[in-house]
Amino acid sequence: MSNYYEFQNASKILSGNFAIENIPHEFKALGAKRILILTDETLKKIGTLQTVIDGIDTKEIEIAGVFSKIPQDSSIEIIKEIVKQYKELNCEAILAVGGGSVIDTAKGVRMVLSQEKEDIMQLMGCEIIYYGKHIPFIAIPTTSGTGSEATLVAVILNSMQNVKMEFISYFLVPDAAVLDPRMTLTLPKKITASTGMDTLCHAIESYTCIQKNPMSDAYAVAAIEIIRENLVLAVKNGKDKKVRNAMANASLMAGVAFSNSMVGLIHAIGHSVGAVSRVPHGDAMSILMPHCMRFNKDKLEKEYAKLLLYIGGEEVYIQTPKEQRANKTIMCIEEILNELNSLSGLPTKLSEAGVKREDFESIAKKSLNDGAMIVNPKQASYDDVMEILKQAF
Amino acid sequence: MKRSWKRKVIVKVKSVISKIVLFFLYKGFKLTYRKDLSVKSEIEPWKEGFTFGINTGIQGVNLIIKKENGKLIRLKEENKLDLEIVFKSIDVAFLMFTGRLGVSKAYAEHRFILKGEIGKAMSLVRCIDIVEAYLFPKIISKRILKEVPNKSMGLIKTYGEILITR
Repeated sequence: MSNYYEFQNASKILSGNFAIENIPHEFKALGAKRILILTDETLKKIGTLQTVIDGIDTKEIEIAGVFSKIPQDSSIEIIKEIVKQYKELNCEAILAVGGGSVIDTAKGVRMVLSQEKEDIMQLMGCEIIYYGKHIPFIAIPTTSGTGSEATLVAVILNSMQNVKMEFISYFLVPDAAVLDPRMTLTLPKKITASTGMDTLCHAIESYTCIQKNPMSDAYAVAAIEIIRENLVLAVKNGKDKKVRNAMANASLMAGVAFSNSMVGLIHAIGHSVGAVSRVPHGDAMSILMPHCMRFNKDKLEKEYAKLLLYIGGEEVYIQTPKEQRANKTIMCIEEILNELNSLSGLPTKLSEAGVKREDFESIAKKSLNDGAMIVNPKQASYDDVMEILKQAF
Repeated sequence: MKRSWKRKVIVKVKSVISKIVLFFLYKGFKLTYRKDLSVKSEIEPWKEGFTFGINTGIQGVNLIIKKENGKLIRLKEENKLDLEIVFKSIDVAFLMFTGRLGVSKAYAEHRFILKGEIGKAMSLVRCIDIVEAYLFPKIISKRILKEVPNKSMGLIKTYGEILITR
């Protein structure tokens, strides 16, 4: 165990049936009445936003405005626009309804408002912001993957420099995270599979990075167990509310875990694969996970062996000789990946995901400067990353 | 109640030693930038005028380095740094400066805050790792680094060069 660690999970969690209907009470408890809802156009179009509004439009709160123009990548410009709208409408709180991009945008808006800064660039860095003015903020995730509703990280695009900037602070975490199974019922099979594998990757990396600690470990293994029991079922039958709720919980738990112990090599390369070759984040994670785990295995033999109990289940764990457990863990992940591939078309190779060999150099260079690299337990060089990319191709 | 004299002495001793280590760290940066290909390839892409700092939280015990005309120079103060590592306490800075805590581990344990672009900090972290490998004996480097890098000179030659080069 580490000589020292820090851990925080500050969000209140509202999970299960009619969780959305309790949001007005939460805002009231936080002292806010006029709410600005942040979401995206797709969620507005498919009726997810309407489900939320139907659940929260009560006398207790006022929906002052809805901002639905949030793009795939949250950006500085969008944040500026939302801050302006928030002030013009005299809002008192933020409700984010969406995936990682919407929630990260909301974190950015809250950061600018609470720190009373004009320019978000002044807040760039790790743990440099302090409590500031309290802006009540509730997040409703509509995918079960990013875990952003529970993390201290916001990734925001600087479109001028085409760089994704990371903001890390304990004060980014929402006051409450609302997990309502209705929010993920319409997710297509492939997105369910991809985001579910992203969740698995968060749990595995948080359990193995150098910042791991007993608290994050507990969240990580619990998340892995839920994923083993529910991910394939969620892809097979997306209308099963119980399974959807379980995956939403796994995503949040893995989010709490990696928020406190961070993610490593898989994410460092995955972020770059996304940036260079435009591969969806979850797809990149799914493909790279077994290959990066093999690279890290000599440093993480013990940890991977322990994870077999959670990813393979009791029977598999008992039947596997001790010295083969780490390998078996990686094999179990490959089995899940292959099953998801046949059920949903989730890619298993970089070549299937649209990555070209000529992208490798740029991906490898970018990966080395990714913030996730520092907490990976094994040093990875440019050549190491190139080798992993070749294997995953 | 105020802090005890014993604590005051400890802080003073740690500050003095940290100041000495920061001097060698600066010299180590200068030397490896000239002699080590890995450090050179890390620093070369940094823009002209790039400044970074390591701050222990104790006044006067800090290191500010600027890349100027292709060289690294030490500054006494600079208002706006591109990157700054600010330790939350002198005790942890001291652990790092005395080879008992690596920079990656210090980051993982939230021992410092980082001002500036995190992506750029990764390059700085790799440089600090290499410079530490030159400044510390292998037995210490092995303990605090994920991987001990190949070096172009040994410990004695490193300190010899540092002391004779201006």
